[in-house]
Amino acid sequence: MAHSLVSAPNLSRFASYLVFGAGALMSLVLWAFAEDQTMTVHAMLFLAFFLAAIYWVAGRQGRPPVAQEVDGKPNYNEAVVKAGVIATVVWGLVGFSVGVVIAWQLAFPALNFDTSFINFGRLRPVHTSAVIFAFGGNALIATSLYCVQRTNRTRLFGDGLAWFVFWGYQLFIVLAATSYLMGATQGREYAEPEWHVDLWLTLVWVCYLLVFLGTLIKRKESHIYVANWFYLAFIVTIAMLHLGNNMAVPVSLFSSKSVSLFSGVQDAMIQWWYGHNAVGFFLTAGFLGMMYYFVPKRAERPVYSYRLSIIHFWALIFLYIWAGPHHLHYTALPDWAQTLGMFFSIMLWMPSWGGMINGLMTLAGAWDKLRTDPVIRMLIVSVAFYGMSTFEGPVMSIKQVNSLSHYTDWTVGHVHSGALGWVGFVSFGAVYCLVPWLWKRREMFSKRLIEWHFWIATAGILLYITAMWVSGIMQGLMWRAHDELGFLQYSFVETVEAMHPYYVIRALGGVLYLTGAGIMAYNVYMTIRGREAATQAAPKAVPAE
Amino acid sequence: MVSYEAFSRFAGTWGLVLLVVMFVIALAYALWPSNQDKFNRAARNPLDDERGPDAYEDADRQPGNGDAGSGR
Amino acid sequence: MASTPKLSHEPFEKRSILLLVGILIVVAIGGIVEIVPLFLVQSTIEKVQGMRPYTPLELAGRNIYLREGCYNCHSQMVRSLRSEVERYGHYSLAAESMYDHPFQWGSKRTGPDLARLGGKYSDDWHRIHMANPRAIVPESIMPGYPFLVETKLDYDNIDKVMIANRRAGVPYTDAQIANAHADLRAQASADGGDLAERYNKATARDWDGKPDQITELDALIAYMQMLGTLVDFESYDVDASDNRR
Repeated sequence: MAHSLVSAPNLSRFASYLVFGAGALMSLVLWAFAEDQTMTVHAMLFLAFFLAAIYWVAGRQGRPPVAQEVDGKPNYNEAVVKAGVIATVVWGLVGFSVGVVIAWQLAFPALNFDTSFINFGRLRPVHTSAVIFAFGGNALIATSLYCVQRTNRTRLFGDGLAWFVFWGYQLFIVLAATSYLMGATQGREYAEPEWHVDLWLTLVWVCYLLVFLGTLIKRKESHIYVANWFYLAFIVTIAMLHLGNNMAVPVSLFSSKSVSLFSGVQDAMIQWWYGHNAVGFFLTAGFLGMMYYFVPKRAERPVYSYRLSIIHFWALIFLYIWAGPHHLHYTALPDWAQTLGMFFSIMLWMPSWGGMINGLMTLAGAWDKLRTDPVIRMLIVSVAFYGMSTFEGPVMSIKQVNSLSHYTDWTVGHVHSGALGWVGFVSFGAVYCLVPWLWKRREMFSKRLIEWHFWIATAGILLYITAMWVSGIMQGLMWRAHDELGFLQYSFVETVEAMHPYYVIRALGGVLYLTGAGIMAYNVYMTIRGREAATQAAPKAVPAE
Repeated sequence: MVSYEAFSRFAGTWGLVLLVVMFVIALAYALWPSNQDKFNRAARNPLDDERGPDAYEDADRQPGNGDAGSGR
Repeated sequence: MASTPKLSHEPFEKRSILLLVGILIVVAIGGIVEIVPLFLVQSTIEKVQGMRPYTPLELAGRNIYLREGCYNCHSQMVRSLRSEVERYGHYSLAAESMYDHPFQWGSKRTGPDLARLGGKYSDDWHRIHMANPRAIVPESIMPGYPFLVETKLDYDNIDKVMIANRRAGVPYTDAQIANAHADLRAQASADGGDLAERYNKATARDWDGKPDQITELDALIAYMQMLGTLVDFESYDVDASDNRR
């Protein structure tokens, strides 16, 4: 019996108890000495997490280890992917809802209700973090963990570790959102979580890298499929950016307040090195991995050019990292840095469109699928939005254009054509693919509801970005307009007043987009429940039309 | 402290050479003729997976879609 | 066709790590070239007269500015464009945010730029405007912050915040840190004590119209009223070789 006590499962269970127990103990200490409300609440959340983890490990005692293969086929870990898909849908609804609320707040300021907790300044980071990190992050984690298993024909590395990544990431989201509402923030856009939350994310992210890399190492295919390159670049680079941009000096170990290690112009450069590459590697490279897996898979055709995908990959990750300074044109950042940022941003147009062409042309010769399969349509329209945004971006990075567009809603519209059109639609497409595959259903509950989702969301995006184009360009022009005597023509508040109708239109666009996501959530729920709409007992894969 | 001039001189010479070399390496890898077969096979990777869009519970478990010969 | 002969696993491991390392090298270059010189090259920050670290009260006000997410709608960076200089004043210098941990240049002007807000409006204006922006500017879409004047300022740890800033490079003196609480109280009263000895150009008064209490609004208005007022532009030489970038 003695040797079985030191067997691998026992050892890893012992290690888990040790780690989670230490975590629970540290949470207790943090709770006891916490110097502010945020830290107290977070210590409680940490404690709950570690206790739940201990309970979970205990519950698995005595279970046989999971088989790597069943009947000579890989025994894929689908449970954690399922959880990720559900989290994607749920956080999507949350993130879009908060977006709609703050859009109405901009149109009707009374909706701030004169309170601290839900004023625009605190809710806006909740919106951005919820859509980027909660919705987008879960979509990336779920699809990457699916893709890396399938394309490498092997079960995911690390069972408990993968669950730790999933739940640890959800804890990160809850920590971030609660801290903004309580007013704890680093005051850096898209990197608002305070130092202790950043440390937690670092830990979770390293485990994510281990799971992903471990699966690559034990793969059964000699070549690593290109989608995994994009996912790997996303994971590694986000780790680098996260560490670089969150260097901070905590006020005390028990205070949620910290002070950024860098200041002024250097801090600005580091923030936008991070900020632009949160776009480049979180919202682009990661989702390109999604595109390179789900578009060929759904279209049942190999990617248009694999060679192009390799060039696309290296050119994209090399060029993106330079583009940050285009957020700082005409500021106190030295001119040479601004020029570099502009140069590389314009260059970036080429690999971006290489990727777009590769995605679109995968459908070459099968264009009829656009008509018959709304999921393919969603994926392809998302690639088209990717192409549009990555053309608009380089244009806006040109200093002369930027002098007009910067600080205005044009930027907001640009971000949303990428976020709603590209990131949103490619994620929805992946969800519509994954749900039937994972829960072993013939198809989604209702194809018509996918159609409805597609059209309502598309209408919402168009309302959103056209309203922002008009209001952004208008405001930019009004800020610089001079009257015949050479004085500025408009006071600032006159330009604010002119925005009002467009803010209402934008909010309506957001409502439509949210409605579409609600339809998707219902459709996903019904599919998982095992329902099939009566209208579509159609044969598999080939849509009935 | 480095002077701005020295830094930009380095970037314009050795820096540029390094970047060109890196670009050529990536291009060569992608376009190398003997790699073509490997890439063609790799491109089919997601499609050769045994469980695709039409692998649901009540269906006969046929491997792949369109490309049954996954060799497994 | 996808089947491969049984291989030893070593090349797989090597190639995965190789891909990882390749990615790291490729993505590191851009950041290194753009960020490292900003710390090494001398002319990144101009030589100016007048900059000093924030007083404890201003620092507490700045923390409220961060807490409420003001940077989501207000920039603190006047670009070197004609229309901006006309609207807001002299374009911002790098030196003006050298003690800003973190920087607050912002990225969106839903409201106007605040880099040179100091002294533009009276304390009374700010007091009314913060409680209800539409009482002064009917078309404004800014949220109201009536709770600031109702909330006592919690400044217990302001010296610790200053120490953290000092660790990050802000040249607070021992005297400044030792007197943090006293200086904060002094700046929020008409008296002021010996605040001006430690902080050049610092002014003291009751900022929020409630002399018996130090509120969050005291701190925020003290911060807003000093924004962009420190640099002595009379002595700033644009054409000095160090200031030309």
